[in-house]
Amino acid sequence: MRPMPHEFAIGEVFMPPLLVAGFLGLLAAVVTVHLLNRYRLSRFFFYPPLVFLALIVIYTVLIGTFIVGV
Amino acid sequence: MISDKAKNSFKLSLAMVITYAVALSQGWGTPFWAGFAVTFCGLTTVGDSLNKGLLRVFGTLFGAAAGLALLAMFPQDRWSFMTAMSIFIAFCTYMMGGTTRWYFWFMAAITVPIVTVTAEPDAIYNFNRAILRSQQTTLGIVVYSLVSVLIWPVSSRGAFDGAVRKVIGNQRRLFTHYMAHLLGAPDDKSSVQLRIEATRTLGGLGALLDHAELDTLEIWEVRRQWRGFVAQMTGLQDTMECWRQMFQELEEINAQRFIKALPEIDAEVGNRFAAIEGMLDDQAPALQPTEVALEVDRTHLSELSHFQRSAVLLAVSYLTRIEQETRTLFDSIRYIRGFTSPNDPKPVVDAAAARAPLDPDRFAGVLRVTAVLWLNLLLYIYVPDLPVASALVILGTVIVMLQFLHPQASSKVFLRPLMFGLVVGSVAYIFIMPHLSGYLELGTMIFAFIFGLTYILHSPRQIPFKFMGVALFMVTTSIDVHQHYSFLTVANLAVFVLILVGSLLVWDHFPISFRAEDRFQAILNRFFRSCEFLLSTAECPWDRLPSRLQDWRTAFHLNEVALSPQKLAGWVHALPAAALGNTTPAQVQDLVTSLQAISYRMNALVRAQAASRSDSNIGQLVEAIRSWGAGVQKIFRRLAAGPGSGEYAGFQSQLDAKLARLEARIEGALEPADDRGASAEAGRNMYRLLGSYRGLSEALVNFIKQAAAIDWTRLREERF
Repeated sequence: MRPMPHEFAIGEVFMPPLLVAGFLGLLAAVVTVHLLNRYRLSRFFFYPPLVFLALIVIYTVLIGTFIVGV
Repeated sequence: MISDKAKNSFKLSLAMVITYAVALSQGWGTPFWAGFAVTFCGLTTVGDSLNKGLLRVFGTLFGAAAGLALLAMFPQDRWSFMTAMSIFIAFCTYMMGGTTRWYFWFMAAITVPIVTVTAEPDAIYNFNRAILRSQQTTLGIVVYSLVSVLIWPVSSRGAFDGAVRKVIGNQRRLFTHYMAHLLGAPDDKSSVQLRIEATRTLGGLGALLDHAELDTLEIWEVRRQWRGFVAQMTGLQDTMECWRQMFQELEEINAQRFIKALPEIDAEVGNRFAAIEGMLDDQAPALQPTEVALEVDRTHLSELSHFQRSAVLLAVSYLTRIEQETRTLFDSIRYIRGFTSPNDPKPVVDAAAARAPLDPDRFAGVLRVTAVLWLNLLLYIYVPDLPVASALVILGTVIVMLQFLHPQASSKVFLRPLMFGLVVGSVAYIFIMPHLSGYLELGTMIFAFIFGLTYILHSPRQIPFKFMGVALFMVTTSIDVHQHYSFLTVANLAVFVLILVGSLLVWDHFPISFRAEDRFQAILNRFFRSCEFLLSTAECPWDRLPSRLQDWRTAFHLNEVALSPQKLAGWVHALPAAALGNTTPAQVQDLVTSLQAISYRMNALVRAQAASRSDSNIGQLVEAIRSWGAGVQKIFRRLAAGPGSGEYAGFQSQLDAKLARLEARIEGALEPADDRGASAEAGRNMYRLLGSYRGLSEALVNFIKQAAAIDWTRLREERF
């Protein structure tokens, strides 16, 4: 079952779930590209900056669907 | 004894307190604009501060007028207004490059969004914003100027005079080294450091003169002559560098045997440098310069091959130029220091050098600025409740324009200084300000924070932290006539900083990648294509003058060839280790140095070709020249496709064969002239051309040798 969308709060500062999912998606994409650079797998991509953007979107959607609940 | 950093911090803090006091007492809103003027124009010397302050004021006035004009021209027409605003900002950004007065264009560009966007959605206040912005900026400049002039004033004259003395001293020592080398002494590696220091100091002299002429009357009165003097020193440096580049061709030649009066010119130029240094120290010159005529000893010249003769003639031409340029320097400084008599003529101030034609790298920077501006404007329009949306447009434009001047700075380097500034401001805003009452307490807080920040973060490496710390302190505390407190201010600013850096990071890669390895390869590629074009001009008919379009294209490509090595030198330090692979930074630096040699030789070749067009003897060599040129063009084309694709031994043998054919043609053309006993004037242009081709060939082969050491596969590899 997918998690229910809800707001996150730090103290009394509320944040929308998409922001949290987006932030986690960005972190995951950064770790992925770091590993791709580290093992020189990045050379197989035509235009890595676009791939990085795509990874952010993919991870955000996945995290938002299955973990955070957007 | 109070240290310089304490004095500077005191002056800045005092000026800030006075500025806020005046603004708040008069009921002027947004006093942090005046604070910005104090922060960014509060520099060490009076001249520096005045110069930047004046540029800020005039830039703000111009930008405010332009902003109001754009609003008046495009009322109720959002897209046309945004297009016109981005064209204006793009124009100002382009004009920032290539001038010491870039700050005027910078302020003009950022004032337009400040005036037009910050008053929204109620446009009726745009005029108020324009006037308020101009008023606050002028207040900040005037207050700091008074403080810097009245309290511990520091003149820029010392820095300027010191820099001039350093350059002259270095040029004197360089000349001594090079003459000793020409006269047979072994190569001295210490000249490398002298050359680097002279070039670096010369590069900053223009800005130092801008500062010194504002705070020193004696320099203001002869400012045109000083500008001419700086240009003459730059010309002399270039001539000596061209002369040094050809030493390899004179390796096996005893220069004293073939060039008359070498010791005399060595002594005369040395005396002139000594006299110039003395005049800089206000000592009258004991002797006047005497003309030394350098001549080639024609009786022995026939002992040399044609290549060697061309090298000797080229050396003589460079030494003659050095003799003339040192005399001009002597006359200029004699006039500037007042050692001339009333009847002596004023030194001729050379006309300002023609502005360089369009620069593709500046256009790339302009494209990035425009892209960032449009992204932020679209976010401002279409994303509802975007935190501090107007500041996103303004600060995004500010940072990307600063990146135009320093394209090696990635957007992520701004994140830490911005967060640091936000933390400093938040501490003051949340924990201190609510407990303050009255200006005495508020002023004390302002003084303490500004003093602390500028005192602790005084070193050049901490400048981004200092400026962002002070700027965001003022923005976050949002001290105003009607003070309010809300945690949302801090929270919104924190989110704003993240959105700002994120939007800037996007445009590091789109539409043009500003990664160091991509820029490095792009500039290298353009350099070789420009060299290829310049060589193709030899295919034009020699008896016809080039058209205006051809002249413009030649000037454009000459500019590319001249500036590319300096641009590449800037990018070398930004290349990441992962892109270098097995290559060391020193090897890349050597590669760039070899490109500089190609640049000098190409320049000399184009000049030699232009001078030879009127020589009827050259007609006999046209086919040989074209054949050599076609071969070298092919090499440049291959290098443009892949710099590491050259094979050193193969290229060397190709070029040597073509040069041998050219030498044989020249010999054939000159023999009848020799038989008639005609003077070597007939062959001067031929030797000049021959020397230029030989020099370019050798520089090209040296580049290919250096390029073989670079790991091009890693450099060209795609990376995140």
